[in-house]
Amino acid sequence: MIERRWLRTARLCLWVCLWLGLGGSLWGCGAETHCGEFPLDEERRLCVVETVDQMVVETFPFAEYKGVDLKEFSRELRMTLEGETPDVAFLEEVAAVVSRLRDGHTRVERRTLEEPGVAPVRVEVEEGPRGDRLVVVGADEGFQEWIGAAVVAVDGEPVSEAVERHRGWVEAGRDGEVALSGPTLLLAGEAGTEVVLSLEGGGEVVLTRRRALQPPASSRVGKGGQIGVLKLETFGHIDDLERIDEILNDLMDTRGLIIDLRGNGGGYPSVTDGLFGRLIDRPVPPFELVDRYGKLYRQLEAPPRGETYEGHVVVLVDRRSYSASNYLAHRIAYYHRGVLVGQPTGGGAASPNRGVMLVPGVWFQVSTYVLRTPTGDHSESGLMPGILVPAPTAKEQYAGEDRTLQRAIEYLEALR
Amino acid sequence: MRKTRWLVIFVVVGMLAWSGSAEASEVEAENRWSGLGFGVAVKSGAGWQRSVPCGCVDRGLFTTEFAGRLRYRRVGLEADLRFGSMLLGGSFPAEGWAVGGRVEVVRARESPWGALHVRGGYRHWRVMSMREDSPGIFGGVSWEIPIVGPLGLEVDAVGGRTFRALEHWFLMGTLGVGVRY
Repeated sequence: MIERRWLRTARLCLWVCLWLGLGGSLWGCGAETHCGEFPLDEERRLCVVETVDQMVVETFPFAEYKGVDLKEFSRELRMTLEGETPDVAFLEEVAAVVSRLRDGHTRVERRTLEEPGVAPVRVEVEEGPRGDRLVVVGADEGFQEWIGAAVVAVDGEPVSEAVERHRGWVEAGRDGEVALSGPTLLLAGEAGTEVVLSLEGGGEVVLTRRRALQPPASSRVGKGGQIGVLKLETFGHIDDLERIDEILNDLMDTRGLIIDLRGNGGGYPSVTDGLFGRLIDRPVPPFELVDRYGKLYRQLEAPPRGETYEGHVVVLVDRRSYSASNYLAHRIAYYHRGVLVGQPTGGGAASPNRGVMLVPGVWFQVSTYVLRTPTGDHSESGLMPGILVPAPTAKEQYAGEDRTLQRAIEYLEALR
Repeated sequence: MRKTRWLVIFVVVGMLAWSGSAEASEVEAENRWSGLGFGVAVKSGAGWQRSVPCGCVDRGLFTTEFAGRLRYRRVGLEADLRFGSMLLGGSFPAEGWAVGGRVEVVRARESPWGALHVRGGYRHWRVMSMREDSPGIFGGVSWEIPIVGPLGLEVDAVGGRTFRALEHWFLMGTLGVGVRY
């Protein structure tokens, strides 16, 4: 009797172990890195270089289009193995070589931030009398007083050094949902933390970083609030589609809708297609993803969803409207569902379907497929808006003037 | 490598556990389907989600659940880890957990068709790249059919509602195997 009880207990323990083990193994799936952990010895560095090289050579679709010599790329990549550089410097060199492909989707990302944050000011790099400096060219509400200010150091690091350190890098969220690059990255960090800007001519400004990309937001403009504005900073969060749906439900009574994609660096086509599906009442021909030889990978459908918004649509774009954002603009223009207003989009017609965590916190992805319209066009180099409005000057931004938005309102109000 | 290691452990431990179960007596079998006990189950299923703000069924759902249970007579408590994906244009990996209760409304020993349970509880779900996690509630029925020894087939039909940003109704069916002790 005792033996039987022990046998039952033992079997019970075994089953518990079995299920915990299987659950635990699945829980850990995807946590592995392709080339091992830090420190990066010779073998791991070789793995990093060969992985990047192989993925680019096998799938990169724009070599011919952009005039990139892939043999030269491979040679430059292997040169990063020479010398005894620290691990971070080695990865920075790899990122810099990858950036020479001039393809925003093919990139090395750092994924070290829990909640990527950006400063409430937008900066551009300029050459100053004493090396590089940052000039504030835009700002959130309440921070416009800093527009035009010149910054010579960020958190005590001279701008020239910061630019060099971040060259080629992109910082992304833990799921890759936020991609910060260029001058924005120089001021980026964990959301809620402070960044200290040293100003040219003396003085310091301490700014608190806000969450990098805000959820969709809306407002009403024009006479009697008859025009709705849907501001979308990103398509990188899948649950933003529900937020967009809620906003559209609230704006159903408007006669015109302005979708503001300025500064929107892209995200998931699923979100853009979901939004587009609310703007049409019948199916439209799909766009296609094709490989570099033109072979079809899959079709991207954007079927009608829910209650259709039937008013006029204007989409505001600029050169930072990239990737999925450029894709939505392309759909709107292609199906004549609205008018684009602003500056040419930044392009980005690729889909980076191949990616790998090279070493902890360092992700590499490569453009794999090209997005094509039903007539076989793509917009890798950007899309020209139907109504072109010059980019705002610093003076206009400082004064809070938004000529692009104003032009869109005028256009919608002129429609009967 | 890591997956292979776990697979080997899974197979070895599973064989050991299964080898002992063949010796179960009729008394044990009776207890197994009526008294105090413990159970585990693994189930997979698919379903649909209806977005509340859109008012449309626009996405699919796939899950695999690893559940543990404690029961006394007709009433049981259960908890599970679940992995899967949400289909919306592409496939978005998802993971979560659930806790809940179940009541055996038709007992296995009283029916040649096995036991029928009603179940319900709290579900916590996270789809990749969501701004925030998605809590929810679920309820449904579970049909448990003894196959051999402690092993049974389980068929579930579950519906529920998720809240916060991912405000959805969902309906799904799952199929799997469970073991009772």
